[in-house]
Parts: sequence; C-alpha cells; structure tokens
Amino acid sequence: MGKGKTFKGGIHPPGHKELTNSKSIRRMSPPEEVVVLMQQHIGAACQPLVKRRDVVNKGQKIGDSDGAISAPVHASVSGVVKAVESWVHPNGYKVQAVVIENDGEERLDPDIVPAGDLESLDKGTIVDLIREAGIVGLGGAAFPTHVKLSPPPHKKIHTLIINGCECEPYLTCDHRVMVEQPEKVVYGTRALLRALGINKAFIGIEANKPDAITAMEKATAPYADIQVVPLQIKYPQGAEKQLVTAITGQVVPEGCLPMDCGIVVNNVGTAAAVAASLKTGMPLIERVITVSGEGVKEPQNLLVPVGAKLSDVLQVSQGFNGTPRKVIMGGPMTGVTQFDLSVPVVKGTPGIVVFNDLKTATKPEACIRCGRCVDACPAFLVPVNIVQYVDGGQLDAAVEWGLLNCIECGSCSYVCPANRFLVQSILLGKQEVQAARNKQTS
Amino acid sequence: MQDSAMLPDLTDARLVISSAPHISDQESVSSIMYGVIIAMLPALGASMYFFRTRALWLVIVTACACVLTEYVFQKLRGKPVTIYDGSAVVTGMLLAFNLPPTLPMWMAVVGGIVAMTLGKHVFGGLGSNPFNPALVGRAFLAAAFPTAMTSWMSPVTNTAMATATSAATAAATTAATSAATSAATAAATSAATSAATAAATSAATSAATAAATSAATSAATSAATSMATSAATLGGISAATAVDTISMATPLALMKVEGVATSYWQLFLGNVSGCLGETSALAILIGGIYLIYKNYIDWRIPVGYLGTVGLLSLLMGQDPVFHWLAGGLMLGAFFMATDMVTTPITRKGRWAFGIGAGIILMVIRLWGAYPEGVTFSILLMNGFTPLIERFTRPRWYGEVEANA
Repeated sequence: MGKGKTFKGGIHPPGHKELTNSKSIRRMSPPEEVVVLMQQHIGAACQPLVKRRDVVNKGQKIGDSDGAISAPVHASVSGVVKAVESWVHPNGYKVQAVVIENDGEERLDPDIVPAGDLESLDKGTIVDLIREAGIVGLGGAAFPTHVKLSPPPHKKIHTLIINGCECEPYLTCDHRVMVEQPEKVVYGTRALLRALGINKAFIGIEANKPDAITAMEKATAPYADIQVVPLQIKYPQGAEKQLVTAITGQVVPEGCLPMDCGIVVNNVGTAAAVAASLKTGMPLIERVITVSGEGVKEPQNLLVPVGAKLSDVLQVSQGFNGTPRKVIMGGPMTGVTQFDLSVPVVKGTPGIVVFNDLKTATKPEACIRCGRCVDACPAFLVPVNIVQYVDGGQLDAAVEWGLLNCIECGSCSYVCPANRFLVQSILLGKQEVQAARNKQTS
Repeated sequence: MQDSAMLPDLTDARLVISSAPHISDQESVSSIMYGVIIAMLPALGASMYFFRTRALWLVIVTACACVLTEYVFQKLRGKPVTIYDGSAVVTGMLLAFNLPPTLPMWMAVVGGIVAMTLGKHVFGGLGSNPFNPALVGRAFLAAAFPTAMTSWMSPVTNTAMATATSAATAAATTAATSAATSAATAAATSAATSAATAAATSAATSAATAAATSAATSAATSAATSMATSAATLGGISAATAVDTISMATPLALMKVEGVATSYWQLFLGNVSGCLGETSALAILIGGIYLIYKNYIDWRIPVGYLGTVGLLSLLMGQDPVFHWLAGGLMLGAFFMATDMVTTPITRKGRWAFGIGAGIILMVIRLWGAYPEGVTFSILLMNGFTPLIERFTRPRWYGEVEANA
C-alpha cells in the first residue's frame, strides 16, 4: 500500500482531503466575542487572572495554574471581559471561561516581545518561553509542550519526531501549514531540538501530501539533523506510539511514554506555534483549523482565534450546506459531536467537520467473528473478545485481553461489518476499570 | 458579522450526538454473505455441468429449506427475521454442496432443517453457533441415512468411466428391477457368505446388485468385512440406484478399498463422482481465490489445512496431490473450515485450526472406517475453537513479559 514506512494494522478510510488540501490558509476576522476556556489542555485547569469589566490586551495572560502539568491561556482579542462564567467545553463538560467582548482595536499586550536569535537562547529559556506562550500539542491531545520538553533527568532523550501525518480524514490544517510555512516548522523543530539538547529529528509525513513532503524536504535541506520521512497512507499513522514504531522501529512498552524510549513527539502545528511565539513573542492565541465535510458551503483552512465560537467559524465558511446532522469537533475518526454551536475553538481543535447524514449505522447486528477488528487494531488487540467481556461485566477478563492498551483510534468500529460499537464499549470498559480502581484506592 | 440568514436557526435542528468514529466502511454482514454466495457460483456451475439439473434442484431445495426454517424459527422466538442477510442461503448452498447428487429431495430438506435448528438457532442464531451449521446438517444426514448419503452417481459427462463399467452397467440395468432377495442369494453363493448377508441386509439393493455381477463379488466381500456403509459405497461401482443414473464410487473409496487411483486431471476438473460441490477442485479454487482476494476468508486456514494433509501424506508414503484433490478437502478447506463464526479469530489460532483439521482428516482417511473425514475434522476443530483462541491471544503492542 504505497511507499514509505508504517506500522502494522490500521485502516484506509477515504481521506476526503481534496475538499480543502489545495486551499490556502485564510485568516478569519476576529469575531465580536471570544470565549477563552480555562481548560484547553490535558492537566490542571487554569484559574482566571481577570474579572468582569477588566480591559484586556491581545496576547495578555488571562488564566494560569500552579499545576506541573498545565499551560496558561491568553486573550485572543483586545477588549473588555464580559463575564467569567462556566461554559460548555467541546468535550461535553462545563469549565470556567473568560468571555471577552472584542473592541476591534487589536491592542497588543506590552509584554509581547520577540525572544531573539535562537542561538542566543539556552535550553531552559526556550522551555520557559514555550510554557509562558501556553503552547500545547496542537494535534488534538493538547498535552502541554513544555512538559514534554522537561523529561526527568534519568530519561535520556535522543530523538525528536515531528508528526506531520494528519491521518484523520478531512483534516488538512497540518498539510497546509507544511506547504505554506515550512520554514516556520523547521524553525520550531530546531527550537525544540535546542530545548531538548539533542540533534536528531524526523518529520513524518503521509505520502498523500507530496507537496508537503517536497516543501519540507526543501526547507530542511540546510539542516543535516532534520530528516523528512515519507510514511504510508494509513490510519492511525499519526498515533504517537504507532508513529514512533513506523519511524524508528522501536516499540514503546505498555504503560510507558515515548519519552521512556528517549523519544519526544510533537505535532507540526506545535512546531509552527513554537516558531511563531519565539519569533514574535505572541503566545498561542490562534491556530489553523480545517472546516470541512459536505455539510459546510465552503470547506476551507482557517486561521482562527482561540475562543471563536463554532457558529462564528461556520459563518465564515458560508454556513451550512443543507441540514446538518452531525457537527464534529476534530476529525470523523476521533472527533467529538457537538450539540451547541456556542462552543468555542480550543487550542486542541484541529477542525470542524459537518455531515448532513449519519455515515454510521445505529443498529448493531450479530457479530460474525470475521476478525476484521483484529486485523485493523494497531495495538494488536482482539477488540471483539474484549467487548464481549466488557458487555458481560467481566472486566478482569477484559483487562487480561488488553482492554487498557486500546489507543481508542476507532479502527475496529470503522471496519466492523456488523456495525458493532466496539471502541465505544472498550472506552466504557476503560472508564469502569478506572472508576473501580479509584474506588479501591480511596 | 452575525447574519442569521446564512446560519439557519438550529433550535429545531436535530444534531446527533454519538461517540466516535463517525464514519464506517461499506462492508456489511450481508455483503460478506452475498460475496460468499458469488464465490460458490463456479462450484455450482461445475456441479450443474457434471450432475445437470439434479444438482441445481438440490441446491435450490436445500437453500429454501434453510431460509424457511430460519424464518419460522425466528417468528416462533419473536426475534427479528434476518433471512435477507444471506447467511441462511450460504448454509443451504454449502449443505447441498456436501450432499450426493442422488439424495432424495426430502432428505435434503430434513438436512436443511437440522442445519438451521440444531446447527444454528438453538444457540441463538447467526454468530452464536459453535459448529458449522451446514456440516451439522450433513453429519446428521450421514448418521440418519447412511445408505443414501453414500450412494454416488457418475458425472453424466464421465463417458470413459461409463464405458469401462459398461458390462456391469448392463448387468445392473437388467438386475435393477429384480428384488434384493434374489441378488442377496446370488451373493450368498460366493465365498463370504456371512459377510455378504450382512451387506445385503444392511446396505440393501445397491450392494446386493453389485454382488450379483461376478466382477464385483470379491469387492463386496472385502467391503462387507468393513462397515456396512463402505459396502454400500463400494457396491455402487456397478450398480444403479435409479434408472437414469450410473452409480460410481468416489475416488477416495476406490483408493481406500480397491487401491484404484483416479487421474489428477479428472480430479482437478471434477469429472468424478462425489458430493455436488466438492468434485471440481478447479471451480473451488476460483471461488476460494475470490474469497481470499475479497478478504472474506483468511488464507491461513486453507494453507494450514492443505499443507498439513500434504505433509502427512508424504510422511505416510501416500500421494499428497491425490489427497488434496479427492473427496471434500478442497471444498472443506476453502468454504467450510473458513467459516468465520466457528473458527478462531486470531491469526495464530487460524493456523492451529487448519493444522489440527489436517491431522484429524488424515487420521480418518488413513486409519478410520470412513473413506472421507473432512466433515468430522472440521466439526471436531470447531469444538476446539474457544480453547484455541484462549491460547493464541496475540501479544498486544508493547506488551511486557509479566502479562504474557
């Protein structure tokens, strides 16, 4: 299946990338109101640093936390704080949010100053700057980047992998960033290498983005320590551990992070964000997202202020094309369906996909044990058997069959001819196991 | 900015909330089943060529019996009727493929009913049955109607064989109307009196008629010393079970009892006697390759099954090609042993299944009473499937030894 390295297992869903992959990134004009959530990352939620009626500048820090795993949030527009209240997070729960009324002045925060030449910055400074810029993994998981760059001293990091796979169907934001801003990605990669004190980086790109591969190869040509690696077109090529295995051949042991193997993985969007904030001093207040699916009139790649509401973003894409049935934050394989269009874009939002019909069956049929889920599972699990145990309440047996090693990519459900809710049941099982363990320890 | 004309009011919009993934591929249970049916068409064509309309009718009757049984059973249980998913048709066709062309239609219907009830629905229907339903039906018929299930007709295209046995045929046609008793008396005059009587009483007309011809007398004697069923099969060499068909032993029976080999080419094409769908290795291979290409079956099972049979044949000084081509092995390896529901879901388990079935088959063929053992080798391995799966769980990504 095509050229390049890859992992075992996986699926080949239609990409539908042609809807947006040749469209240049457009800047969305800032909306009248933005909603900056205090939880835009994995880890501790931020505490608001502003209150109602405060005047804020663009790029001003408005939320932070003392938690070791956390990242501050910043105002993406200048204006007045309209409210500090609870708001619906794209993942469905409610979190604190700072609602800012845009005054349209684009008044920059005086703290925003370029960091200066990369060569003049030392390891610690870069990590601190990245933390203060509120940079998190832009691939979707939104893990604070500075934490990834600060491994415990006994873990010797030797390799940086920049993830340019973008294996989710429909999404093309990383693709466009690589095509349009390759030097930014390279600058960010160099900054990350410097922050880690190493000199070996790979940029993994799926073969369905030949223009991105060409652009990145050209941009990395002067730097011997950065190598572009074309990868086969396969989902979930961009899953962290699968990517590590595809590129280095190393297998990350269960319960471990790539860090334990001396490898740090970052998204191309993250690298570009690092470059942008080091060069300009501007924290992460905007990101490129893909608005796509047959349910939007004008599919495109947009540079969107963090905190822009879904309704505003869809407006820019000329609204709905027909009657929407599913509005998905993220790609169709792992994205989260939305019920409220006032939900804001967060740092980890790679795209919005709108479908006018249900592309999945709602009624499961009997399992015929065809084994497609087994063949598709990139974690080499037997999804059907795990689900049988979960559904039957035998969580111990499910764990014995690897329940907790599911990476939740959804490949099993995608291929199931009986339309069974495989990954969904596994997710439920994982939560039940976690709940049972929490109960035991408390 | 806020132009409500562009963004319709969504208060009435029915946005669906569901857990990812939000797309799925196009394959469905019924598309797989219909794919299997397509894969069976070459073998069906071959059987129609060799056994004419008799083959087609048997397939239609058996398939209809299976579909109707499923319908009635699901209605009685108050469950959703799933006859359109194609699985009942697949079972019916496979069962028919495993029946002798001369089998009376009502027996085929009984086989279909048993396959669907005892083979499938008593366990909860599609996906829940531990044993291959078609083979359950066949095993039942073999036990209930041993004579009818081992009476073989020569392919209508098999002129060479017909000429070779013309003398016997002539004798048979004239003797066809004569009563079993007179034939049995004729047999009784030969050396093995007691044995022939046993054959005559149990295996009835066909064996006895065979005994009537002097050429077949010694064969009848040897057959009578083994099982009554084999005797019936053997007797079929020169006897007619009906006026319009020419009876003939299967290549495996010929080999086992008489040591007569059949040419590879005849076996490969399927111009030999046997069950409807099993004779033509060529037609089965075409269907099997299609199944593998469409990813409807795992190549590991046929390769493991056929490979084991070939290896054991060589070890035992037998002809592996003959063992591959003769009897129901090809059909079993590609269509029966690969049944998704009743075979292990793990890759290693599928190897184990194929190899295990190969060993059982060779044990039956070499040392068992029956000339053929495909049905039982697969059914027995079906029984081992849960156990095999348990011991062949794949190591998951990054699994550490402690959990292995």
